Amino acid sequence: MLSRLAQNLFWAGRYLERAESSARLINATTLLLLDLPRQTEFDWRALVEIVGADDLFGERYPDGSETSVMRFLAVDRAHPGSIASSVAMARENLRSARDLIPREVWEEINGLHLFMADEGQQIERRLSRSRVMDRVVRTTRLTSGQIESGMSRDAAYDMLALGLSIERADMTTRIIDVRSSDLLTDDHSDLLPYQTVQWISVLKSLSAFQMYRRHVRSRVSGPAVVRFLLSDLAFPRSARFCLYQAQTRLGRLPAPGACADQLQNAISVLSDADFNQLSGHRLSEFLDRMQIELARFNDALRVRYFQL
Amino acid sequence: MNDFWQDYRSAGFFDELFDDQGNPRLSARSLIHQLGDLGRSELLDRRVAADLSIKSMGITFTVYSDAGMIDRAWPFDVLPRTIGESEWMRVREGLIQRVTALNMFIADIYGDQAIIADGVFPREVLDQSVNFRPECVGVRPPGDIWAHICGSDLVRDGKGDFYVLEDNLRVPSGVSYMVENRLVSKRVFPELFQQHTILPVDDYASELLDALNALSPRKDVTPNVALLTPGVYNSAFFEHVWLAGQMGAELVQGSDLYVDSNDCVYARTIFGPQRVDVIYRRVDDAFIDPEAFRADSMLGTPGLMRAWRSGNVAIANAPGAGVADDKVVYAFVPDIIRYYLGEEIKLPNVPSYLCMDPEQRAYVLDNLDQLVIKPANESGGYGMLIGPRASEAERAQFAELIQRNPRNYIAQPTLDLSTAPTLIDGRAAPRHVDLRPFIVSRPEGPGFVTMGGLTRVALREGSLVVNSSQGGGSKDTWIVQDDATEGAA
Repeated sequence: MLSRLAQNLFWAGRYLERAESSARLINATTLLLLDLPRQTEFDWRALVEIVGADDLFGERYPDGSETSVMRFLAVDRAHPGSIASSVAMARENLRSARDLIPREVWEEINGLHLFMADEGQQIERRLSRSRVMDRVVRTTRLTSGQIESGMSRDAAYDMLALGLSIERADMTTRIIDVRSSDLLTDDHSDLLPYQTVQWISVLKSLSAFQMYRRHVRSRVSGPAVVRFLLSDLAFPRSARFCLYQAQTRLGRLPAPGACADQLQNAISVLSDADFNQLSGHRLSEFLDRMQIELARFNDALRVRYFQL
Repeated sequence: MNDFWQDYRSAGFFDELFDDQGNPRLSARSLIHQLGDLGRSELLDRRVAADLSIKSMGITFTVYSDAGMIDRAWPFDVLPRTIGESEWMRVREGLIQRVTALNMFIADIYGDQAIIADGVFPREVLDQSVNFRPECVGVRPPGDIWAHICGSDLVRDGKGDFYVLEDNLRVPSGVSYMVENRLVSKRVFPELFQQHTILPVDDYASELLDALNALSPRKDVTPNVALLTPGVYNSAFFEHVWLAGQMGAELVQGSDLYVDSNDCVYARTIFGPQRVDVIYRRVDDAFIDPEAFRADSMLGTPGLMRAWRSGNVAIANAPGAGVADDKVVYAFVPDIIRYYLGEEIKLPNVPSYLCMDPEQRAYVLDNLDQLVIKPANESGGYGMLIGPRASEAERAQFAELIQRNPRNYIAQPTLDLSTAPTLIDGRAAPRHVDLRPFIVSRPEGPGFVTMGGLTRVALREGSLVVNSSQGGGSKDTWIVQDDATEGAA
């Protein structure tokens, strides 16, 4: 496995997962809106905050309207975190590594790239939005399936899967970070009845609602959701689960050394957390800490495997 | 004959599928009937299906433009071109003869230069060859094979005889499209394949891998084969990925490799350095090693030539093989074959005038309006003059170019290139075609020739330019078993 290709595959994994997470997030938020009272001032910019691109958004769009945010998040190629950009970057990375992945995976990603270029604009209308987002989610799910069932468990697979896991953990912490500090700009008192709906929406944006119900069995509440999404050991999108997955993949790569130590640091932060104490600014600080650990892990990977 | 073919005529040209009386040729008879039965609207549907397949299969080629790099869908015409098996077998023999002699020529040029000493090949041609690499003199690659992969361009004249237009011995491309065209054909015309015995084309990659493995300097281990690509911006990058994937070879760029102090080549991998035994290079040799050739090359690996000369790595095609990929050398191929093999050429050259020869040059300058002028070392159809179509000013410009640098030009009569029916605006229309088969040579055992090759078609009416970078298309090429054709007729 060439170092250059290892890097391509890791990032392809991250970009694919990023496209999927963004699509889920957009879908779940749009649905949430339908549940909220009509007069609610909904600030779409919170979605921009999740992907950490507030400045760029401010430069490119005059207002925080639904249309602007949708365009920015889904189709704006000047925004490197948009779905269209993520798919394009996944495609670019896989293009060099095309001979290492099942042919169908390339065909699907290529098809999705063309689809976003041709029809991504339709995201502006709510009616067609879910169709476009479903296409993104379905394609990425399909390619995951093709990767899982069609790819030998070699270093190429490990790198791709590592990228997927890390991005998933990253997105989960980002979503919790923004959502826990609330999506609603108004005085909250009249929206209290809607808090449950909001937390359900958070779960749904991670496709976690059904599994939460089955395994947590208490009513949906903020702290319980945060605990579930960060540290559940059985749910595949919980941050902890993702990091354990990453650890398994990393363990199969040659001499992970400092990377393994750094990943262990990130896992320890999660394992040592006292979730009863985590709310408000404490939660926020905790999530920032997680972000920093993940960024360090990324750096360690780069030094160990990508820059030889 | 039904409606679809009713108006099809290719007046004045040899047509690949129809004879002069307008009857289907033997190899095409059953194809013509079946396509006719499908009818116009069904064929148009199939064409849409083919375009979709090409798009979704990601079969592309890359072109440069002011707007940067663009991936274009591979241009494909759904109507296949057929050639009878027995005719093809004769062509095949001619190709093997040609490539065998060319390999002996290259080995001689970098060795004793007997052909020059014997007065068959002029020294001044070699002295002025831009593709002759003095760095390669004295090197003996395994089996004295230099051009492991050759792509020769064939055309037919008005009588239907095949001629070789040029030999590409540096980094010929197109073979992936030959195989992919067949895949697309099978997807959109499954029923045609049930009715014919069409010889398969998909064994190319296995043959190539065998040939490359055979070059490995280390005989005790499974060789590590790498395909060296200039990278994603190269117009043939699709093919590089495709070939690497089909062969299970590592696809590398120059920066992925390094040469150590023992002159061995290694790839930088996450497992540490990995020895590379054979490099199938798709980078022009001027760029493969900044230490030996162009110092400004970002595409190469410093020290590669050292490693190759020490015999620690095999490179295909060997550096310097391009010396025979020169349109002036081309004109000498009949002599080259006679000299090394004692045989007459089986697959003829297009008659060529060498501008370096004063008499021939005078003829060329007097007849610019009837000739095609080609520079000795360009590919892709660039830098050519098609005399009959050129303006007075363009001809004057070429007259000057030729006088200034006669060694760099040859001239050939314009050929009445054969045509094949091509789907244009919903109808079958005659368009000019050529054919590029690929020949793989190895140290031991017979050479391999693809079953048919890549048919390229000039999509504009009357045009002779088939290059995909300049608006050419392609066709699936069927070598049809003779007895099967008769049975189906």
